[in-house]
Amino acid sequence: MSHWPTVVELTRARLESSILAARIATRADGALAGFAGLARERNQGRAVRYLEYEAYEPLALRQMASLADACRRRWPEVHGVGLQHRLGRVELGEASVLVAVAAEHRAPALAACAFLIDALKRGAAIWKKEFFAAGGADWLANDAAAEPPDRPSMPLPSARPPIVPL
Amino acid sequence: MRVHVLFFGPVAEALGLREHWLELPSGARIADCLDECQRRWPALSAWRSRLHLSRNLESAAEDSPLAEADEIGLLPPVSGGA
Repeated sequence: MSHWPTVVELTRARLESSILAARIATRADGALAGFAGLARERNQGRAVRYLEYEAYEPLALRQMASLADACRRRWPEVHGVGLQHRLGRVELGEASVLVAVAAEHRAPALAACAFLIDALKRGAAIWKKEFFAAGGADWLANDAAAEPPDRPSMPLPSARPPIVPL
Repeated sequence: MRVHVLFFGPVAEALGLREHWLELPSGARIADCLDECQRRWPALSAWRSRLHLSRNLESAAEDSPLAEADEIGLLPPVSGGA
């Protein structure tokens, strides 16, 4: 358990990166790295109207907390960590996920931020449904194999890799 | 024994339900639970090979043993993030 601030949340409310940043950064930090995943208007050539997310909430929250721990083990210089994900309907342009990492210097903050969003997308028990402008809807599946090869690798020693080990 | 089976995302939609308390013989494993679900809801067969499994919020496999009141999650491929 880190004595630095940790925010791990699933919420139906709009996400604000500045609010998350203020909750995890302290005066000990010289760097704050952030990532926001936004609901965009096109995916795979189709016009999107809005997104809906659902989660296995207790499992996803445990996984997100475990990712924050894993990230601090890998980059002990990391201070505050924030992970927030939306549930329910998300309109175009809104953030569906926020990651924020604070540290004394930028290198671990940036690396940890990339690690967290990649690992969250790969394993957290969260599902997205896209509703199309032309009508209809589809559930998506994140393709772990499509991740860029130079991403920080995080072996998940699990019998079923897409679940973050607990 | 009775176990609490939870369905998510496209699997919940395909089966038309999110949860079910299932009666299983003692000594049953997760595979038996999946077999029984598949018997009740044949639409599950299209998903079975792609499911990830959890037992009481821990990763599990088909040969994991079951106990009374276990919570079993049937998790289709995830798609969090934007």
